[in-house]
Amino acid sequence: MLLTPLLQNSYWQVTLSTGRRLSEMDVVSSPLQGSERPADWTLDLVTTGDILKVKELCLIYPGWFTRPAILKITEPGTAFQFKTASAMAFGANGRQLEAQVIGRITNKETGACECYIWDRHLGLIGYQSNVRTFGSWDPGRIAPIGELSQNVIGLRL
Amino acid sequence: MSDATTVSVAYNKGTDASPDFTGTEIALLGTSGANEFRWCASGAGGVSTSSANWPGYPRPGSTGAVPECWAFSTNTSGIKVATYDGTNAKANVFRWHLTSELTAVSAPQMSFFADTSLSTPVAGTQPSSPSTDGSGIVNGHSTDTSSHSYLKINAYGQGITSGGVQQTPSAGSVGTNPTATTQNAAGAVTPGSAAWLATWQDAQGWTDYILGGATWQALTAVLWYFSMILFSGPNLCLGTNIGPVGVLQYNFT
Repeated sequence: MLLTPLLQNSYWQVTLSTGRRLSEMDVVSSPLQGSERPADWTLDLVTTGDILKVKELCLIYPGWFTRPAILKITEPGTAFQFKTASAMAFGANGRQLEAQVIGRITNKETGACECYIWDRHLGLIGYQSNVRTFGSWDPGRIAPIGELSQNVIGLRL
Repeated sequence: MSDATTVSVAYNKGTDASPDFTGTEIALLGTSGANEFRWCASGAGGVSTSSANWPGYPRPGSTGAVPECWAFSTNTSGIKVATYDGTNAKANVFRWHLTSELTAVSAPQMSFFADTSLSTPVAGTQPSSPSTDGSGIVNGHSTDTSSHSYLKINAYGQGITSGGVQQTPSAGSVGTNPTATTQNAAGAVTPGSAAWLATWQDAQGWTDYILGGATWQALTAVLWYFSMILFSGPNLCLGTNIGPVGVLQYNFT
């Protein structure tokens, strides 16, 4: 059980088969640039190949006495994560993070997947879809996401 | 998080043949008249007219396009969008700009909504007058617009391709000139690579919208050119602030 009332948004955390943990809240070093930056899904998991070592994927989200959403990853290259945002102009201005999605492939042949989503309106929900035609968990407010780029999110189907 | 640091809409202050988008980025923030786009009749707008004093657009006897669009960076500092004229004659009008920190995971979506709650438009239903949101425009009316949105949109190609090639339109006309009843197709429509939609789409939330044709290359600045035409008609609701909200939905790691 977590106390996360001060969180503004959700974030992901992974546990690797090596025992190492990495979260979106961590700061990592960029030795070549001599700087530090927040951990990044693509740069620190997909590009490094560590995405294939993910054995547990968690979603931590705002609220009182929350329980992290956890997905056990038994097959390498089947974990993914992304966020959805809306940029608004003309009649009103703004940019808002609508939701964060963590998921795992349940059928590598078809692309079927199961997910946890933290949505700023709906809170934490479970959702089943397909990474080749990812749908909308809140039709009307969220457009169907469409095909996810497997290279970018690190899938090996 | 690999979101773009800045997302904005820029407008053309030059000509279609020699577009000039420099210094025209409208930030997605601001209140009290700052960072606003406003529509008006020909010759009705003014560079220092405040939002509260902006002229109303008389409801016409028959459907037609609203002929001018202005952009205001502050409440009383504006400029006419030079290439918006309520027709399809010009290509370089607006563009979304996302800075290069973005790592997109799918193609983006674009449309318009009544307000920032992003509720689903109710096709053909006009709100009571005076209205205070954009529902009248996005809902449309059975007689004026065949229950499609009064606002028509078009987009050029993919913006940035998955291989990092920026797609920028040449000057000239954009598809077939739409009328108030134009709809490309129900649901999502996608422009071809480096091409405009031949038939404009009506912007009715995620009921009728434009879906991009590619996942933008990661860590690359995006310029996605688009155009729009706002129609009015005798059955559009009255109101002092009925401009709908343009939405770019994008997905990233």
